[in-house]
Amino acid sequence: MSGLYRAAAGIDSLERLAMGDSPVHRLHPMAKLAVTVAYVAVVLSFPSRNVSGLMAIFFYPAIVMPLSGTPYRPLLGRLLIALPFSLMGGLANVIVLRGAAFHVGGFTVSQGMLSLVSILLKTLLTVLAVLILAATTPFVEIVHRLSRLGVPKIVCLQFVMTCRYLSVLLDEAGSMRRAYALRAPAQKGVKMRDIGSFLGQLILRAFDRAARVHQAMKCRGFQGLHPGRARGELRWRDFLCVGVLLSAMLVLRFFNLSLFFGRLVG
Amino acid sequence: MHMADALLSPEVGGIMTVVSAIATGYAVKKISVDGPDEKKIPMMGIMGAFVFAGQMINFTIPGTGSSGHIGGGILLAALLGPCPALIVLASVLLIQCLFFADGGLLAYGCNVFNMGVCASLAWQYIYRPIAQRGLNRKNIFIASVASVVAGLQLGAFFVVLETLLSGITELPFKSFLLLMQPIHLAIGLGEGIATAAVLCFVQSARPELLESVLQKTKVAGTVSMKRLVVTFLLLTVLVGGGLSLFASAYPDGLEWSMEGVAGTSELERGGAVHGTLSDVVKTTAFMPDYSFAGDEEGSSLGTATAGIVGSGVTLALAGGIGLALGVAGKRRRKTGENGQKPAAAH
Repeated sequence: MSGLYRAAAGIDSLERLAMGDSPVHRLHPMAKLAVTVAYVAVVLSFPSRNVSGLMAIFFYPAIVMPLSGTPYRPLLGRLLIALPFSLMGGLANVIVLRGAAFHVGGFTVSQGMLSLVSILLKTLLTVLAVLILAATTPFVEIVHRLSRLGVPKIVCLQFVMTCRYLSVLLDEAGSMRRAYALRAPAQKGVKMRDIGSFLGQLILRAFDRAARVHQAMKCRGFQGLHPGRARGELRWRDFLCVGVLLSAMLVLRFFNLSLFFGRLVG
Repeated sequence: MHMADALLSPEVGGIMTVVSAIATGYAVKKISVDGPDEKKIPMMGIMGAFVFAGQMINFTIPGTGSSGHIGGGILLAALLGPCPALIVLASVLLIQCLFFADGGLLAYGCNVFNMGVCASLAWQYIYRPIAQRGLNRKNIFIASVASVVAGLQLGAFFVVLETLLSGITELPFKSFLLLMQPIHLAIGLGEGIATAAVLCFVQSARPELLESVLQKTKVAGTVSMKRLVVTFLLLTVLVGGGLSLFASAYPDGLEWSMEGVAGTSELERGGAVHGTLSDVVKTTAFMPDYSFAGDEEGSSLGTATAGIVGSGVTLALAGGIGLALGVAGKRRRKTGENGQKPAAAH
């Protein structure tokens, strides 16, 4: 249960961040969505041997995160979720790809190590990009834009409803859990034998509660999506920003800035 | 089973996003044809929250690029119908991706397919035919366990396929498959039993719920056993065909990487091997990539060293700019707060 409450709190804290104000927050949600998708695609398109090229792509999070005031702390939890899988895939590469990639001062770096580093970097960068999007753009606005893009209304409604009804579910689960604990004070947790009826009961109770909430919302004029904070159309500033960022990404994708710097130093 | 971005290639991610979008579009159309069921909207919302909560209980599968947890697809399909189930799962996955980095943004299409579409198919072709014979405890139990296991197996298989087609990790196909399938078999059995227990309770408390879903999705008459067998045969041939296609494609990838491995060790010798290797690289590389690996001649500083030094410089530069911006932002916010305070006190 506590894990679930923490999850709900996590959503809440990100949403509160997204309500903030900064040059990044002020950008149009559509622009941010486009830039994030393009950025993730560019990061993933780097061949696994091209680690030095990947470094230059760090400029985007390094600049945008402080500019938007996005804290680094949520990053840790997110990396904990995403990293184990990438680590496993990368470690397999270390075992399989043993050929030398290059030598540096008597130390041989294998191709597998190189690809492990690139996979870990890619994980960090993609997680950073999505975190920036989530911390600067309210979820409702993203969904709004999706519906403008032609995503069916029922799908968009579902996106919002799932988020909103999480607290309804937690409420019901909390009170059922409390009632169960009061009836069986000596027992820790719900008995395995009772799990089926506990969860089934929870679903039925939550169904009824959700239906009442929905009716109450309809009574108050709910017609699908909330208007949210109305944001106007795309302005020239948004176009400029997207244009600059996309072209910078393309340039850095094909021009290895790190190697250029390295040669300058050498 | 959530796939992260890092092990995926943009091509596979893009293709799977299109596939999942088509599947979701089909589901939406089916629902609209069924009529906008007002009562279903809050039910879908709360079930989304339920599955989301269930999937928060997550454990990593050692040795693979994936995680194991309750999928919830069959439970959703049994309570809401397969088409709403797909939409609900898609929304759960989007929230997990945005708020928890559980599953990547470009991997979203893959995840919707592996967990949503596979489960809906398993419901349609396994749960429904069994449940239509009568919703008693035995049938519900068999239908739930069989369909959950089948759905998860199918999903796990697609995880393996998508990861390997992306070509980022060099995990051998067989060992990857041998890791994923048995683990998801165990998860599937557990989840199937839990799903059955929940559905049995729902059936005894509110029998009309499961019945109505079955009624609504009923195609004229019950499904004949013959049709079922034919469908399964077709599915087996399709999957088997895909497998053998892949099995023949995989050695190529391995060969290529072996060539890369062998090639670097023979690079110093130059000559014909070097020539063919650079030809291979030229034809396979999209652009001549300036990676760490490369020729050691040509610049006073080796390419490798240049790459490392340059990476350091680039990172320092990016970090420096970030730090400066952070400090400046903090200072500005502080002065902003000080400036606004008297105004706020009014």
